[in-house]
Amino acid sequence: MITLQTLIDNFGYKLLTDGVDTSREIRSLGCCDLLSWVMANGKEDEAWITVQTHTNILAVTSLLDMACIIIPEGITVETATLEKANEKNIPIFSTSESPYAIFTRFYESGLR
Amino acid sequence: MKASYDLHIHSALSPCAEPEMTPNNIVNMSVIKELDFIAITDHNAIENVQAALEVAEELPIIVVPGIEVQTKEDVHILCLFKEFSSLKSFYEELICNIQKIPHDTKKFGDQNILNADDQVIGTLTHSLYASIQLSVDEIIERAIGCGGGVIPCHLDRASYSMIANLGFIAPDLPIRSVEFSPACDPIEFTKRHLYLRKYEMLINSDAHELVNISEPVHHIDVEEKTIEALFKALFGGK
Repeated sequence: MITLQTLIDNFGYKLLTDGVDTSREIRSLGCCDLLSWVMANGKEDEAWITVQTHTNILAVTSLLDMACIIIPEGITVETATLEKANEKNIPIFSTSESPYAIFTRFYESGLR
Repeated sequence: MKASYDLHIHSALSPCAEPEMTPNNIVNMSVIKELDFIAITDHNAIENVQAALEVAEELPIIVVPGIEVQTKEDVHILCLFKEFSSLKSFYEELICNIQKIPHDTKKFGDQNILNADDQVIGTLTHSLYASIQLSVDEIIERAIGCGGGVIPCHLDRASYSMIANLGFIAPDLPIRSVEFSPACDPIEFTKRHLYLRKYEMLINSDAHELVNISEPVHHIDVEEKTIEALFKALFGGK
């Protein structure tokens, strides 16, 4: 089982936001930067990889009840987005890895 | 009064526009079409706006100083201003934040700067297809800070649109008007996005060729034919 805590402990990803339940399980993984597409095709309990850092990503995550957002490639997230994510208890992770490397980690950790 | 408009026209400076899109051709074609207001809105550049303003001085048409900005989220936003000087101060901040990718003329076409006699007086050597490294919110804040107004472009398109790229228009953004493509029926489109009906809905041509500049079929209610009245109709307030 991969939980949010796994991303911190085993993958070394940085959790940028507070007040989240890190025991939550991640059941799927997706990567897309067009928010209209994610709104139509994203899944509950999914970890979502995106280079978008606009505050709208938070609304999309809540709408679909996704597990977390993963920002790849070491991209900086705006303070306004992090502040809003803290208010809404939405987990945002940061990593320097590419989406391909992120997918590989999840696959090797048993997500099929 | 009802005024006809086309507030999204590309000049020959935009690499994807035809070389025939010169200041004189655009302005005079718009006069022939009996448009009241037009805007030259090139991608991330303003170098041909001044020439179009000069051409329009003696003609029965108002050219609104403008630009089509591509934000870091690849969202296209029209930024319009009452005076060229305001557009210029907005542009000076923008240009520091553009990714300096060299422009490939062979692949993408010329980026020509023209004067009011339609003579080529220069070219831009960085790619106007690159995004400005500022967010939608930052661009809007800066445009309004310089006295301008903003209009999210072609909301019905599958790319470079605020709806496609960001999912929806965040309700706290100071947006009063939105734009659809000529191919779109806004009434049909907004059945799926009911919240859009609170905005002033515009249809602009996004013309890259002379033939595509709008006919006088789209209208906006203005108190008189001035930029001030147009701004009031588009953006409210003053």
